[in-house]
Amino acid sequence: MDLSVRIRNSVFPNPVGVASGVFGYAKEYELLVPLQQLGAIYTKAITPKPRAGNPAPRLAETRWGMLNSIGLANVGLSAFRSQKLPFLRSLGVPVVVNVAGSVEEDYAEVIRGLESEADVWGYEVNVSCPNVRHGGQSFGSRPEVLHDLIRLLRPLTDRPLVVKLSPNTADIAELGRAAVAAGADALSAINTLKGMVIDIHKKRPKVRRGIAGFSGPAVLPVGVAAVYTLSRAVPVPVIGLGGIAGWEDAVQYLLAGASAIQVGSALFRDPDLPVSILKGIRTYAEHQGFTQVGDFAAALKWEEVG
Amino acid sequence: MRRFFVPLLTSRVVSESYTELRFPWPGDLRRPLPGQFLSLGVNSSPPVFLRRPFSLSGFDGSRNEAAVMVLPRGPASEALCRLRPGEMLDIIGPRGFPFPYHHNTHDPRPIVLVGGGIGVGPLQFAAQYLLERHEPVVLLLGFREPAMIPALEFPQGARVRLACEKAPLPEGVHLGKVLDLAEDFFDREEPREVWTCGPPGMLHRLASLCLARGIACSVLMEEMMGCAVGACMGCAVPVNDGRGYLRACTEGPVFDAAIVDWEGLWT
Repeated sequence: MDLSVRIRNSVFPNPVGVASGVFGYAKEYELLVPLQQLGAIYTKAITPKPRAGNPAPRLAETRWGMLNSIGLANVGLSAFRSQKLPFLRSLGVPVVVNVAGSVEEDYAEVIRGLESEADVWGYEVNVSCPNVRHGGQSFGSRPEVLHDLIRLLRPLTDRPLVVKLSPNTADIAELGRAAVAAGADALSAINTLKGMVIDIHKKRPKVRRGIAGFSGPAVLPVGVAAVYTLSRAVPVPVIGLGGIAGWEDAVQYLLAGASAIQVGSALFRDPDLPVSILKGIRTYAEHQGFTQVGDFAAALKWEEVG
Repeated sequence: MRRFFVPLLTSRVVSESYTELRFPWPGDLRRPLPGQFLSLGVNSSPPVFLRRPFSLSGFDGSRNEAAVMVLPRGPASEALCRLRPGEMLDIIGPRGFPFPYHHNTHDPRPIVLVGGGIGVGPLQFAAQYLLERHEPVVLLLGFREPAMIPALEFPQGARVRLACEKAPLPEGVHLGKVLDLAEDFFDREEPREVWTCGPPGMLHRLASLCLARGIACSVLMEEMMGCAVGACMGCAVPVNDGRGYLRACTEGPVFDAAIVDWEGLWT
C-alpha cells in the first residue's frame, strides 16, 4: 500500500501531519511523539519579527473543544532559522513552514528568508488566523485580496505553497479557486472558527480578547464539509484538518476528498494520536482494498441531491 | 517528562473541598520536585477536552508514590475525585521549573511557605521536601471556610499557622486572611525567602508585601494550559523584564514574583 502524497514537486511519506500552532517547533514534543513517523510537521506561524502574542488569558475550554487567542506568538524569522530549523531539519520529516504577517510584504519576507535554507519542504500560507487585528484572516476573506497575495508569493519559490483557509466565510470554494488560480499547489482547511465564551459569574469573556479561535472535536463536521466543498471546486490536493480526534475522523476527511490530514488541538489530549491515526488509516485501507490515498475520495458512495 | 498510565492507589478526602489522589511513580522516571506539575487526561461525563495541570502535593521516595490534590469545581476535577482505587490515571510529567531551592545549612532563617486555598497542595510537598533536608520551614495557610481546612499531617518540625475568613474556627486558627499571618510573621522574623501558591489576588498582595520588605518571593502560577509542554503558548504569564510573556508550563509554573506583571494578569 502506498500512502504517500504528492504535492507539486514534493512528497509526504504518509498523509498524517501535525497542524501549525499545536506543535510549536517540534522539539517540545520529542519526548511524547515519535517524530520520525509523522507525514509532515507544520510549524508555528512564522512572521518576520518576533511576536509576543495576545494578552492573557488566551485559552478557554468549550463543550468538546477549546478557544485559543495566542495571536501568532513566535520567535520571528531570524531565530527560527538559527534556533529552530536545525532541529526540524535533523528529523528527516517534511517541514512545512506556516507563514503569517500583517501586510503582504511580511509573507514575502519570510519566504525569501527561508529559500536559501535546505530541507524546508514547503510553505503553508496562513490567511486565516482569527486572532490578529491586521493580516491573518483579512487576507483570507476576500478572493481578490487572497489572489493578489498568492500571485505575489508564487514567483518567490518553487517549493509547494499550501494556502490555509478559514471557515469564517460565506463561500470557501470561491476563496479556494482564487488561491489556486494565483498558483497555490494545495489548500488546507479549516483554520479555527470564531468563538466566544462568557463567564456568567464575572460577566465577561473567558479569553482576554473576547472572540477567539474555536477548535477541537466539536468542529469536525465543519471541517469535513469545507474539505468536501473545496475538493470539488479545485483540481489541487486538499489537506483536511479541524476536530480530528481519532482515525475514524481522519478517514471521514479522506472520504470527503482530502489527500492528507493534520492533527490539531486533540494532540494536546492524546499525543499518541498521529501514530494511532496512521495505523487506523492503514488498517481501514487494507480492509477496503485501497492501495493509495486517492482511493478514499473515489470510494464515497453518494451523489448530491437537489 | 513522559506519558504514563498508572492505577490510582488511594483517594482520600482531606477536607470538605479537597481530595488527595495517590499513585505509583514509574521507577525509571526522574523524581519530581516541589513546584512541578503533572498534566492529567480525564474521562468524564459530560466529556472534557483538554488535559488538566495539577501541582504535585507530595512524593514518597521510599515507596515511590506521588500525590496531587484536587479541588472539585468542574466536570474534570469532579471526575478525578470520583475515581476509585485501581482505576487508571493518564499522566504526562513531571513538567515545569520547581521552587528555587538552594541547600544552605548555615542559614538559620526559615523558608516561609504561604498558601491560599488549593495552593496548599504544592506547599505541603515543599514543606515535606525542605524538612527532609533539615531546613527550617514555616507554613502559613489560609482558607475561605472552616470546612475547607484540610486534615494534613505535616512532618514534624514545620511551624504551621492557619487562617480562615469565617467563624466558627478551631482553636488556634486566626480569623482573617493568610496575608495577616504573613505580615505579622515578617514583623517578628526575617525569612530566608517566601514560596507561595494560591489565588492570583492573594499572590499579588503577598508579592507586593515581600517586594516592599526586600524578601525574595517565588510564586507558583496555576494557569489554564493547552499542550502543557511548551508548544502552544497558551499559558502565557505577562512579565515586566522585557520578555513579554513566559509559559507557565515551561519557564514556570514557579516565577520570581518581582518579574510578574500583575497588572497584565486578568484577575
